[in-house]
Amino acid sequence: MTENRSPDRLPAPDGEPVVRMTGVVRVHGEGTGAVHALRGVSLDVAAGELVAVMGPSGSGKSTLLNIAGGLDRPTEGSVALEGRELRDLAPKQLAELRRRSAGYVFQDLNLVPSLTVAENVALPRELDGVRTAKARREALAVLEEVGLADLGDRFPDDLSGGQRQRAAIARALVGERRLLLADEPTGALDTRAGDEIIQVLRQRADAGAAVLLVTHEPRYAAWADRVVFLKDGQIVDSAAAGMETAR
Amino acid sequence: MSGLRASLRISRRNARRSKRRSALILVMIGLPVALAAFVLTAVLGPGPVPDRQRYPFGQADALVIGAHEWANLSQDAWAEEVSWEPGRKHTPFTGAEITTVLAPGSRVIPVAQGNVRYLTPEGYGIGQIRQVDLRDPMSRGTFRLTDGRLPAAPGEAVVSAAMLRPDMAPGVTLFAGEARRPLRVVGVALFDLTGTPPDLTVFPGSLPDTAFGPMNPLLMSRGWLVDSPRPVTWADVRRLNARGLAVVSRAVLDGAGPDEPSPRGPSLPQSAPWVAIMLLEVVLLAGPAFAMGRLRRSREFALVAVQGGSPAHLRTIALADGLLFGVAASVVGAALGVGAAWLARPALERRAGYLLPALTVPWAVVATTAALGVVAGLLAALAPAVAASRADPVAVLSGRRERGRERAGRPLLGIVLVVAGTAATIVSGGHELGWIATSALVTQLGLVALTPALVAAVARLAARLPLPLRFAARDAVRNRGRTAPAVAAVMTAVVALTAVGVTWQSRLAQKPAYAQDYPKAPAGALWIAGPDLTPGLWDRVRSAVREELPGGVPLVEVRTLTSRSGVPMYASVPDTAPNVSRVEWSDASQSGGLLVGTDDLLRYVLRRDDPRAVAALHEGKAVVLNPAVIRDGQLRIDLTPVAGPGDSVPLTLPAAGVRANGEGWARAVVAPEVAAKNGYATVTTMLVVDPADFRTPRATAERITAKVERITGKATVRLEVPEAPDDTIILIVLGIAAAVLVLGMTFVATMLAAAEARPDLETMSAVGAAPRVKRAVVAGQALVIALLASVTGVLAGLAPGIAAARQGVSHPVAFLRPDGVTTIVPVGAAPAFAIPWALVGLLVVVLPLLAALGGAVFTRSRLPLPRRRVT
Repeated sequence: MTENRSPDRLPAPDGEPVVRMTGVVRVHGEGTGAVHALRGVSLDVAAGELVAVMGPSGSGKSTLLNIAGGLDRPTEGSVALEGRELRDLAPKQLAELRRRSAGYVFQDLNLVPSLTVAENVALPRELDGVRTAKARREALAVLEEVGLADLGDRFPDDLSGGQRQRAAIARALVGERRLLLADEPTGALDTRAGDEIIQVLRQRADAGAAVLLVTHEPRYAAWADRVVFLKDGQIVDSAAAGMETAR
Repeated sequence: MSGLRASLRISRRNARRSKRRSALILVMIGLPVALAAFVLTAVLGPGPVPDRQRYPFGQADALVIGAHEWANLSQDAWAEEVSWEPGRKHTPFTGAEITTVLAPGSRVIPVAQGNVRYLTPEGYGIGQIRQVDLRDPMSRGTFRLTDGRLPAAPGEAVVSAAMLRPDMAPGVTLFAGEARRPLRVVGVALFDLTGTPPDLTVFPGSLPDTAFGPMNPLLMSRGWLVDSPRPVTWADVRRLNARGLAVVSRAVLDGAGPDEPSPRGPSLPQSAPWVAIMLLEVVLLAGPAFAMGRLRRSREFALVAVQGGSPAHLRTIALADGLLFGVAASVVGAALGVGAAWLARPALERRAGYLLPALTVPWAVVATTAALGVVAGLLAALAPAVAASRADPVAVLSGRRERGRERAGRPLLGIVLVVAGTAATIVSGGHELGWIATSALVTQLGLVALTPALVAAVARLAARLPLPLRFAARDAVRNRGRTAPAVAAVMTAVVALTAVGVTWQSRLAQKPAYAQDYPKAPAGALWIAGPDLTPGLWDRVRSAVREELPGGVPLVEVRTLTSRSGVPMYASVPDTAPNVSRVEWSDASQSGGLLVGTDDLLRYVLRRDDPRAVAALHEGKAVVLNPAVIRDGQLRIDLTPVAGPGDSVPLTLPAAGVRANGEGWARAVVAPEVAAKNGYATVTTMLVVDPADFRTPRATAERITAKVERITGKATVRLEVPEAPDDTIILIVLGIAAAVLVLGMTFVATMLAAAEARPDLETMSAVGAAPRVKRAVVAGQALVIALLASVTGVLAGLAPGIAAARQGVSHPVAFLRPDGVTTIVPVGAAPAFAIPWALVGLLVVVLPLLAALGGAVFTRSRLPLPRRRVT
């Protein structure tokens, strides 16, 4: 485990939130068929903070995550990632942002099956034009941080579900990215593996990353610094979680 | 481009993961490249035959020929222009005399070559005979022994593989020249194509020098191969010229450099439309396979997008597939093609019967072919790449189905192109094939642009169909972006197949496009021509024919002139028919149209009983069918011996002009007594069963043919009856191509459609559809693609097919009838059009049904279970 490693990779928190969402509205479709996924959501996530988002199905959790990382655009409102307003960015610049500032982890099937674990992790760096050898060194360093140092040359199919998710987390963080967006990362795992993944996320937050975690398991939400409840596209409650008790 | 290496790595690994798809794409791109590389290497690879050289050097340094009387001759490097006196008296140099004037240490061996008449057990033959010691190192490289051994003593010969027949095989003894020198065949060899390749090569001393005709430097009739310790220079040549020797030196020729480079391969404008059509076909063929790959990997693409892959990155990854497969398939295909051409060389040589010139791989052309393969790969991957870059990753990852950007194609552009292309095809009909291909290509591109609109039109017809078909049609329309390329691919193949089929069938229908299809005797006549048969063989043939014919059927005997020693004489009978350039080569009777015979021959030739003509024949006059050539009651002809020494001699005969009924079947007829009176002998060259006497049934003719073939291979038997065109080969060749292309492409496209329709099938399964419904849906999808494509393709293929069929005879073709008369195939003979209905039926009915059946059989009938997706 890497608990004792110093978080030298990430800059110290400077008070400005990593992501700041203000009055975000997202409407899918138009006219009578329009669906309001988000209705005026404002949320900041600071460096070193793990924020859990909970809520029933269709409450807009995933949409929130997609908008936070620039995968989707708000219909109204503003999203600033590391101080940059996403509204004005071209798709190419949004892609660049995802390579350099935000990383996603999904419930399942996160990895490209034809690439080794290390290559998967190095992918965003290589896409960014980093030379293969350097990208690989960076990938191996991050893999060590999530406890997968020895499995870099395996293919995803050879890994357990928990190991795969750790690799996905490593990929989401490689290249000094400070925002980690995890959408039900434990959904396809058994309890023990799920616990491990949450611990890794917690460590990454403690090391300076801003983590936005969508989950419907209160158990895991308890590891968060803050829990946000979404219902019908609106934040209905936001509370500091009882971290101490859960840990 | 950033991420290209990562993209290529993903492509490479994926190619290895889905081996069947990879193999399919490799074959689709690699096979055409391999075929093109093979054909180009096999056709362009062998260098040009050195056509100015009279005799192959082998390992010799020079070739000399000379006589003491030729002193102070002058020549060019090739000894093509030699100043010499072709007088009668020559005292050739001896080997010893030549050695003394060459560089010290030189060695010479005699060579001789000439056209010689020889007798085999099945009749006479005329051909080049070389007399040289093939065992000598200097002969190395001019031949390759394939059977038996080399001649080692006078009277022994090897036969050219191209001339190998039962009557000229090892063990057979031939008799050559007027002296009938025996030559025993002891081996078979492939000979170099330089000069006139020999029928036979005999050991020195087998034939007398005179058998090879007079000394002649232009023919290299009797010379010497020189092995010199130092190169024979131009100075040496001039020195030897002074002595009376004409010299062809290897060193001088090498120094002169190659001849003007002959253009290798077709020019760019000629090949461009074909290359474009090929490229289009390969791209459309491989495109659906790439689309399939993109579909299977859509989640992967979405993941890359989420991790920060820009649309350009995604395009790069998808295009990397095209690059990888294009390069791999092209390199392997080109290598296989070139390698196959190399390996096929001995087989080609055996088939040709000669040694082919050294093979140099035309790398530039092969590399261009391979580059086109890479371009095809990239183009085929382009549409899926664009689709990949446009896909919404969130929609893919959450399992939502994307509402694709469905366009109705570009119907206006399509209509304009189709109209323009069809108009151009009609205009280009009868012109060069390249123009037809180009306009067909324009039509084709128009149809590709129109395909989405055509697919949409199909949906309107679908409302009343049963569920699976209705679903398939609606699904095809909803996913026009996927259906259109698949339909276009199958359609392009069908267009090409239909066009070729129509052209082929039309050519067959317009039958007498080929010389052998023109009548060579009156309708219904049975004739057996054999100018090379001996009287003994004719006796056997005659009795064989008599055995098969009812008693009393007269056999018309056709004889021609020979010299007293039996050498056939070719008669140049004047003719005034327009557009006839005198044809100087031999016809089947080798007579030139001057036939010798009696009243029955005259009746056969004139196609009627003509007492006046009979009377003239009996009076010793030549009966001339074209009276215009008679001058002062005389016919003047020139007689030339077909082989051996002797120039042409004039013969003037009293003549009577008689026009035949119809075209007539000789130029002139004389009685045997006339020939004898003028100092000529005659031999039988043809037997005819006059249809006025007896119409030989086909079965009888076939039996006679079989019997005659057993007696000799040097006779031609033919019954003059029209034959129905045989189109089975069209069906077989095009049918196989159609089955492979149409079924293969429909299958790939159907797999693609079935994969995309999976959510709908899940829904059907959920509401209680039986497993066979899935089979029926897939069958329906196959049927929609195949039927739409083949109907459109057949319709579109008719125009270029008919246009190409209009390309009739573009220049007059002359050929010779067995009676020695030239027949001219007129320019622009009325073209015929015929549609290969069997092929059309196969394309429009059988193959779509087979495709549907295949789709149903090869589909797993288990309906998929709805899967929970990430939300």
